Formats: sequence, C-alpha cells, structure tokens
Amino acid sequence: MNAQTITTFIRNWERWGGTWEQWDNPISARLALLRYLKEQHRTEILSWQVESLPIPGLATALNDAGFKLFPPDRRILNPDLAMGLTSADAALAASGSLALTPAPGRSWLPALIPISHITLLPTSRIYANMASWRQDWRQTRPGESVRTLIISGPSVSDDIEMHKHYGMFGPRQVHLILFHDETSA
Amino acid sequence: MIPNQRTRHTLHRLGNLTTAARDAAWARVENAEALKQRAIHARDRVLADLPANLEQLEKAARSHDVNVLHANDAQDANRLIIQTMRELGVTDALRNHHPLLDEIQVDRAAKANAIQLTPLHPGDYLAQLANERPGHPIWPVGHLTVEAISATLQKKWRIPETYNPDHLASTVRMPLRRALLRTHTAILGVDFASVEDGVFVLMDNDGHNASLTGLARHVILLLSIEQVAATLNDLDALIQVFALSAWGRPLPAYVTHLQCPAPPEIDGPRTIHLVLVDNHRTDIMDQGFGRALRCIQCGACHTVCPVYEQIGGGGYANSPYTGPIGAVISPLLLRSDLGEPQAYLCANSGHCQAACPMNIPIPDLIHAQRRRLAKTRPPKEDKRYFSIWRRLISRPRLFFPFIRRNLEK
Ligand code: SF4
Repeated sequence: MNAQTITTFIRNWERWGGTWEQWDNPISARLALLRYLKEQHRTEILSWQVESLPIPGLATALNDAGFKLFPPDRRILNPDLAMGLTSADAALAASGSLALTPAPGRSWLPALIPISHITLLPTSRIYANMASWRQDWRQTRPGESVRTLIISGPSVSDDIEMHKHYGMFGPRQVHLILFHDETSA
Repeated sequence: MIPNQRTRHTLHRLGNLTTAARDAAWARVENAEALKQRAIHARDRVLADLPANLEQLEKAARSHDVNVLHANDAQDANRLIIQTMRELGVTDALRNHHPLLDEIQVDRAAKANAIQLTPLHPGDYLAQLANERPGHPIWPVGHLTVEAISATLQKKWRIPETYNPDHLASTVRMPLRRALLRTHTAILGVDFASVEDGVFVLMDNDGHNASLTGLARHVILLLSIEQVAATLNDLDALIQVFALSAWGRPLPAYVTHLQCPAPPEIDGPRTIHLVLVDNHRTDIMDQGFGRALRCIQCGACHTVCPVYEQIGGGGYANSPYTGPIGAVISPLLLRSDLGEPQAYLCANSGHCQAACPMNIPIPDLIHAQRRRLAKTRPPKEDKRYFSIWRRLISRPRLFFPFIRRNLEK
C-alpha cells in the first residue's frame, strides 16, 4: 500500500473523530494494544476470536497481562461492556472508513455494542476506495454473499436540539492501531 | 400541534445548523455536480422501467433465500407484517427509523393486533413518549425543545429535572440498549436496494440499524418500490448524496449491506422477509408526478422552506411526508380530503429546488398538483380560494399568521 493512500486514510479517519497510532510491525502493535488497554483500565474485552486477529502471539500476551477476551455470545452481552476488539476486512482511504464482513469468529458486535472500539489494522488492507475494494473482493471471494458493515467514525445521535451525543448505540470512541505487515509494500 | 414562538425558534435553528453543515460538506466534495448527476441518473435509470427492475430484484432476492412479498397498499403491508410475525410466533419486535413505516402506520396496526412494537431510534422513541408525530424525515423531534423533552421524561419516568441534552440522551439510551440486546425480530424500513445483486442497504449515524441487523434473528424488511438502484456502484452514489444532504457528512457512520440470511455461526438474521410496498407509487407515476419519486428523503428541502420553519411537521396533514416534497406526494398518498391542504402550504420561495440534490422541480410539481386538485373542486370555490391565496402570498406578514391561525382551527 503506498504511503499516500495510508496518509489519506488517516486524515479522513481523524476527520470522523477517530484516534490512531501507527507502528512498524505487528509486535510493536501488540505492545501498543496492551498499553492502550491498561490505560483504559479495562480487563474484560468483547472480541473477535483471537486467531482471527492479525497479530501473532496475542492470546498469550493478553492472558499473561490479565486481560480476558469474551466472544460476542448473545447470552453474555450486557449493556455495560466497555471495550470491543476487532480487525477489519478493509479500510477505505477515500472516506476513512472500515469495512467488516462477519464470518465465524469475526462478529460485528464488538464493533457495535461496547463503548469503545479498538481496531487492529494491517496497512495491506487499506484500499483507495469502496470500488477498488469491491473489485478485489469479487476476484478473491467470488460468489460470496454481500454482508458488510461500513463504519465511518463513532456512533452519534443529534436528536435533541441537534446536540451531538456520542455513543448512542455503538461506540463513542474508535481507536485504530495501524501497523505495517509483511505483505505491505 | 401548532408551534409556539419557542418551537419556531428551534425550527429556525434546526434550519440554520443543517443548512450550514450541508453546504460545508458539499463544498468539500470534488466535483459535487458529477456526484449528484450520478445519483440522479441511478434513480432515473430504474424509474424508466420500474416493473422490470423490480422483477429482477425479486429474482435476485429469492435466489438468496429472501421471502419476497408484495403489498399494494398500507393495509396490505401491515397484513403481511402481522401474518409473518404470527408465523414466526412472535408478539414483540423493534423497528427502525424510516418514513415508510410511518407512512403505512405500522405502529397502529401492531397495537391493534396486540403486538408490541418499540421504535429503537431515539427520536422516534421520544416522539412516541411525547405523543407527537415525527416532524422531519431525519430529526423526528427536531421541533421539540430541550425543555419539552425534559418535561416529557420527568412526567413519564419521574427523572430529576435536567436540561442537559447529554443527560437526556443517556436517559433514553438505557431502555433502548436493553431492548436492543434482547431483540429477536426487527421490522426495518430499507433505504435502498440494488437490483442486480439483491443487496439491501440501511444507513444511520447512531448505529441502531447496524445493531438490529446484527442481533435480530428474523427481519422483516420494507422497501418502497422506487428506492432501488441498478448496481452497487449506483447505490454508492445515492448513499453519498443522502449523507451529504441529510447529515452534512460524506458518509453515514454506519452503512449496512444485507443480502441473505446468515448461517448459525455468524451475525445476522436467520430469516429475511421482504415486503415490496407500492402504496400509490404507481399512481404517482401514472399521474405525471414520477419525478417526485427521485426523492431520497434527505429532508434538505424541509429545513430551507419558510413555511416549514413556521409550522413544523405538525402543521402538515397526517403524513410522514411533510415539507415541500410532502406538498407534492401527500395529496397522492393520502385520502384527498387529508392530503389536499398540503399542496397549498407553499410560499413559492423556490429554496427547496435549490437545496434538492436530486434536482426535483418541486415548485413546478406543487403547481401541477394544485392544478390537478383544482380540476376536482367546484370552480367557484376554487376561484375564491385562489384569490385569497394570491393576495396573501405577496404579504409574508399576513401569510404566516394566516397559515398558523387556520391550522389551529
Ligand atoms: S425532495 Fe429533494 S431535498 Fe426534499 S427530501 Fe426529497 S431528495 Fe431531499
């Protein structure tokens, strides 16, 4: 992924009010995640299956640091769950958006239910725009049904005299940990 | 209910804020005109042969295991919803924010059939608590002041007095989040659908549509027949234009694409039922008002309209389609005695057409609507009506008090 596309993505992501940090490799990203979670004083996290997250050694690292990952099982969902952890199938530079397609172990719910959402994103998944991602998708996953959630910033409602209230249903905070992975240019 | 001065001030502020946000957002779009043209073309392309496009959509949807149903009118649509819910064995459901659901009066039908239907959108929920009709396609309680919302919540839930909008929003959020996490069945108005792939799109900024789609086991989708586009790329243009004109942002916070039921191990509904709703849209086209069906319900024409600013959504007939576009389509959608007065709620400012991203010639269509209605009215009454109207329209100091006084009657 070229640097210009990454810069465009970050600029547009910031415009939605998203926060971010960028690292050179997955190991640094793993340390950054542990630090971020500690700062937030959260130990219970609604998460994708750890094998579906794009950072190696995450299960052990989180476990050793005392963090507990919960699968988004409806029986344990409660309105007070504070932290959600996912990756994304794609990031769209032109709009600063994330695209998530649900699959086993990769639920939408950690990106929708908790107050805070963290995304681990390899730079190789950044596309110029929706059309380029869709084209790639059609080539690499032909015939797969379309079930996509495009997220652009935190959840916001302005129903009461146009006052912006963040975190109405989805997260009020969206944090991105971006890192270069092996397949990046 | 007719707005008092404080409410008119709120409507005025809503108009100023939304117009400023919209103008700023469109100004940042490179080649804004080309984007609008893409959206207009996308819509015109399917309207040119709607029956064939709907047939293709139906075929695509069925091939993805979607149960497709057809509703000629509102009664039909409600009957199909209730029947589907009975077949699913459910007596309660959550609904999203969508003018089509208000158009068919699904809440009333559900109540009459002992089905508990809860609106998940905070604006709709507040409107229901305050016993108000949604007044705007995007901001259902945009006309209500913080004081009015606070008074409603104090009365209904005995909350302590607060005029802090964040506290009020959090108060509403709690029961809605609890209801969301328990959801089993959802009734969802669909924003757009793509004919080629049979993909349904729902948009929002607060996440209620996205969460409902992820959590509900069964969804009943309602789609008004004109809200279709040929391809996903056409849909992208409509989504962007909607977000820019409705919310003044380049994209909604959440865009959900749904095509088929989900297998047990992944998020999404296990069954999808689609109700395609005509409800006089074919008549609208047959009577020469087809260009009104370009409307994407962004609400931009409402907040620039001087009449809307004075009377709010509550001043229009019992139709979810208020504002300038409501003046065109409500007389065709509603019983004529209810819808007709809407065609005269226009001061000829022309602001609506300038604001409309779909380039709908709203003033021309309003005049055409009046001409159509005049043909059905006795000529003498018509003459008197027009002579009063002509004299008033050039005198705003008389025009607005006249409208308010007459609506109060
Ligand atoms: S008529 Fe135009 S401006 Fe008014 S709601 Fe429809 S698309 Fe928006």
